[in-house]
This record gives sequence, structure tokens and C-alpha cells, in this order.
Amino acid sequence: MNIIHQKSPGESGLYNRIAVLRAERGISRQQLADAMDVNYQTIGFLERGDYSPSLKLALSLAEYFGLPVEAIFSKQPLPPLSQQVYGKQPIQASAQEETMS
Amino acid sequence: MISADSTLFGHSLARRRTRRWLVVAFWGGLVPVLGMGFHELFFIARGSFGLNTLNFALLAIFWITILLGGVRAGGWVKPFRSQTKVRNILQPLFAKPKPTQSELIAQELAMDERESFQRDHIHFVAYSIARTITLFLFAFYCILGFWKQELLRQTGPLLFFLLTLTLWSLPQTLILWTEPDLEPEAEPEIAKEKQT
Repeated sequence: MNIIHQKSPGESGLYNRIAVLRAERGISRQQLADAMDVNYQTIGFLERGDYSPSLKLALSLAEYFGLPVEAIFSKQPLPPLSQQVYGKQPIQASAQEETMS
Repeated sequence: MISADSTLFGHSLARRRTRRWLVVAFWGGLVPVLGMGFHELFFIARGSFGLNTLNFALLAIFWITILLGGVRAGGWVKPFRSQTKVRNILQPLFAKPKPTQSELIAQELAMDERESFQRDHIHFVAYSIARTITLFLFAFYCILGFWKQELLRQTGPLLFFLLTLTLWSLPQTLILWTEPDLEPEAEPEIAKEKQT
């Protein structure tokens, strides 16, 4: 199962962008797991939000992706990366807001 | 050693369904042993704890130790996924591991932080259950004492065996029962596409 947009925080209560970042870089779970020295199954649990990583693992992931930890993990739902970078609302959402007003 | 990479009669232990069947077979296999023990205690021996029961109990403890006797150090079944190649469940019985496999086994025994956390959590759950079971066994023992004093001595070993069984096998049983299906390695084609 591909989890690119995490809709619920899972059991951990954390949202994350691991699946997106992994897909962007074209690496498999196994490759990421090898780099993090964890089981690839653990990467799946992380992506689904079913496991809350240790600070060490979270920092290792941040270091691996070259991003701050808060760009990868959040207690709030994470917006799409493109939206966060370019600061534009998705077209559908903007259109809905206009019709509502 | 049986890991999640192993197969059981052609079914991968990475599937929760297979692991649950293993658990059912394990506990189901002990029912005749316990049945024989109780039967001997209450209907046959009547005077002394039977040697057959003791032998069965010893065999059962051996069975526990080799199969579900612990999450890491003891027992053959390793519930967490390893990165070793798929092997048949019966291979360790007949083939000595090659020298190169010792490294693989060491790798197999190593657990990451989620697996360690899961193991510790399950041990806590198992302790909570075992605590209750111990209470019930003790109550059962006392009630037997009120009923018939001589049964205290006879039932002691059997109840002690039940306690041993619970303490040794419950954590492993719970992990095998609750761990979800292990997903197949995902998106290997992504890396390939990137290389091309």
C-alpha cells in the first residue's frame, strides 16, 4: 500500500512526510531502512504513523533527508510540500472558498 | 531458528494468519498433555503423582523452550522480520548452519527500536495476564485443599507446570498473534527507474 498523503496520524499521533520524501528521492523502504539501521517494516510503521520514532531516529531521518525535523514530523496535519514551499492554495480548495463566500 | 522469513508448510510466517495457526497448534498441542495430567490426577493415580504426567510435563517444557520459549534469547520462533533469505521451517532440524549463517543469525537476533519497544510492551501485557492466571491457579489450589487435602500435593506439579507454560510462552504468543502482516518490500522499481 502506498501512503503518500497521510490522512490520519495513526497510533503515534504524529503526521509525517517520510513516504513523500522517499518517493521524491526514489528510494525504497529497504534502502531507507538500511540507511537508518532499522528493519524496513519499521519504516512502514513510521509512514503510517503507527510508530512514534525515538529522537535519535527522528534526527537521523532529518539528517538523511537534509531537512529539519519539523519538516518531516508534525503534530498537525502537514500541508503538501509544494503548497508549503510556494505558498499557494490548491485550486479546488480556493474555488470552494470562493463559492462559499 | 524460525523467523518471519521462514515458511510453514509453504505458508510464509510473514503472514499473521500463518503465525496465528502456529500459536493455535502450539497451545492445541498442549491440550492432550494437560488432559492426561488432569485425568491421571483425578481418575487414575489417586494416591501419588504419576510418573507419566511428569514425563509429559518435561516433554512439554522442552517443546515450549524450543518453540515459543522467549522472544529473543530462547525459543526458535523469532516474530520479527529479518533480512535473511527465505528458509524452510524444518531446515534447522536437519542441517547445521553454515559458518556464513552465523552472521545472518546474529543479524536476525538484532532488533530495532520499534521491535524492542514492542517486545517490552508485550512483556508488560503478558505479566498482567500472568498475574491474573497465577491468582486463579492459587485459588484453584486452595479450593482443592478445602475439598480434599491430599490433592494439594498431587496438583502442585501440574499447576506449577501451567504457570511455567504461561510465563515462558505468553509473550511470544502475544507477539505472534498481534503483529500485523509484514508487507512485502515496497517499490523496488523506484530505485531501478532512478538508476536507469
